[in-house]
Amino acid sequence: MGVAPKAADSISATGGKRPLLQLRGVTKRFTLGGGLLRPMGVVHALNGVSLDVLAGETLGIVGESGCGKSTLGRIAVGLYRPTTGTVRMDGRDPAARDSTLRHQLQMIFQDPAGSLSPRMRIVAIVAEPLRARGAIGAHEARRRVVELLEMVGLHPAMADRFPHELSGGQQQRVGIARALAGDPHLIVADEPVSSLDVSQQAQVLNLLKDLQERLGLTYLFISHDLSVVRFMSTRIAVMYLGKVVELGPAREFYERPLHPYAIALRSAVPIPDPRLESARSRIILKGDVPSPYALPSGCLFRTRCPIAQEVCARVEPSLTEHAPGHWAACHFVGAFDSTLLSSSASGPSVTDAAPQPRRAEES
Amino acid sequence: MSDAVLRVDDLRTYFLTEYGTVRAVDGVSFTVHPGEILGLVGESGCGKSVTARSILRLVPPSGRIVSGRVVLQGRNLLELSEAEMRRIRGASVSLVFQNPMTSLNPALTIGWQLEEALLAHQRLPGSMAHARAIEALREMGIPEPARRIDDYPHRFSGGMRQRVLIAMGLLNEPSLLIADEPTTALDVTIQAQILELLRAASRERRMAVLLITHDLGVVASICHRVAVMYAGQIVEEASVGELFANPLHPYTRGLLRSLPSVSQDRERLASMPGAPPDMIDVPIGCRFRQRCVFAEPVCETPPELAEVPPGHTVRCWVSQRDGRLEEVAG
Repeated sequence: MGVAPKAADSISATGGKRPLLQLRGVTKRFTLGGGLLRPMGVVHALNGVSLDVLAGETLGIVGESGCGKSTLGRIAVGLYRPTTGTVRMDGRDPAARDSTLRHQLQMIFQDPAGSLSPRMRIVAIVAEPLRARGAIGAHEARRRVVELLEMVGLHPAMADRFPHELSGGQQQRVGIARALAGDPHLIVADEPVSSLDVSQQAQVLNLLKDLQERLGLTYLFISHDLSVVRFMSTRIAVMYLGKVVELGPAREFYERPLHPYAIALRSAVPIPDPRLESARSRIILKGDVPSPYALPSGCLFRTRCPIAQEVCARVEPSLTEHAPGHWAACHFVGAFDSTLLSSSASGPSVTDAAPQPRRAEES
Repeated sequence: MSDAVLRVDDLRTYFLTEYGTVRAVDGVSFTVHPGEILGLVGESGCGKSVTARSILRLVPPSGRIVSGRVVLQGRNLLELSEAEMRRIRGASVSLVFQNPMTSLNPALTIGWQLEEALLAHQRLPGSMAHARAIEALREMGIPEPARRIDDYPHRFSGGMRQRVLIAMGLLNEPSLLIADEPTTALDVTIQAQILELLRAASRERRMAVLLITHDLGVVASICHRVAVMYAGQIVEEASVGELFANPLHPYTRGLLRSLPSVSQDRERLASMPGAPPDMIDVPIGCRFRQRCVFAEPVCETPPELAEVPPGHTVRCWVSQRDGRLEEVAG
């Protein structure tokens, strides 16, 4: 199982930018249960992922719950070790005990309240990565913390507060300040705005973009929300059951998704514009994602795929390039026409979906 | 227009806390008609869920419905006895909650729970209740319902559980279904399935639906009308097409502009400054004025809802006077 190494090697050749982080054939399995009476279960969280994160880009990772996107993020920063495969940041392994590399890789978590210690003041929380990097005086630490708080748009007076005194948006800003304290090159942001309300979400997303521009940061941006990912990302990787099924430049992906799953995912997102909503038909996938305990043979998506054929059960499709920099893992790219997205035919049925003439509506 | 299934009039639900009175719902009025899906949208803490619970009188003990009327098919629910109320809940009004993981009893089979919901309101032989429960699961698109009915909830995925809950909500053919963030915990491809089911159920049964959500995309895709809540009040109400094309309240407009788009590239999001007010200490006058770029001295007087274009009401002095929101430079 795994992405064909040949395809994986050529991924790194695209773009011309320097890869900051390289993942090659990464798999991750978790074993669960297993006692005297119960058999052990193996969760196949990642099933052969090869990706490059290029310096200065935002690589958006999208997919639904259980697709392995958070596991991928944790492997990228070295919180998990892959079961097989390699992860390299500037040629070094993030999971090794290498403190200079560790601080260059930082993470922003989904639940801002849960990721800040309730017993520590903000100043101590943000100063922790500073201390981890070496001896630093209290005065100097405080000066740096105030600088960082201002950078994320928080008043210096917040330094002496406790997390519970802050709103969700402010807590997430503290999480960002703490990540910045390490002077990171790469930040993995795992659903950083999904617990925030719309108005707070917009503020935090704008902040992340500004910081990237000012500090030349690289982001691995993980989210289930395709609108948020479009706003943030230069490239997109779509994951399904622990594999990357599509990878491409953001705009290319949103306008011409190639993989049937990516097409369905794209069409399932409700658009906050009733004129567009009434004009389009939605591709509604049947059934649920298979259990990661027992993966289907061949293509992992075939059990829900509207165009699956007999070959899909036998041969696992590898990630191949269909347009410059735009990769998909499907035997029948093009057969499931993404123009379906803009057809006005109504009805949720997918089995009898035939390609429809394209209508100009989403522009 | 046919008679409303539900008419809520000047509903006020307050919570008494040690810090003061939280006016969670503060003078909310709306109607829902047969076959209509009304979206009630707003951010966390705006009072949308408390409104839903107040309709069914399921407010937590620290809360009190202090005034208003909740008229369901001609009867004011706030005047009924608790016994009468129990005959209404789950029969003429059903509530589907946000979290499909905790709304089912893990120790009872799906079938047991569905049949209980039926038998609580109808006299039926057990075999018939069983058959009706299987049929309800089939209608919700659950494969092999006759076999799955004896399964326990943990054997169902999140999307499947939400289908079971909707099936349960529809069992007694309610005239009103209240769905509180029914798809928030679900993935988008599953959300699309569930929204389609809700839409079909409402259309086929001429059932009124009150859909509580924070997601304007969901509103645009299945609602007919929408009411926007802010700090315990409805600030704007219109048909979905009108509200999205011509938002007249600065808050509604701010919400729409702060959304990232799946169909367009955007450089920056127009974010509203600040955060919603502390509900114990609500600003005097318009509750949005401290965050509002259109605010004028007149906004220190509390605005009332008024119809600006026909069928479109808004609680804002400026757009009531000008008929629109004039773009502010910068």
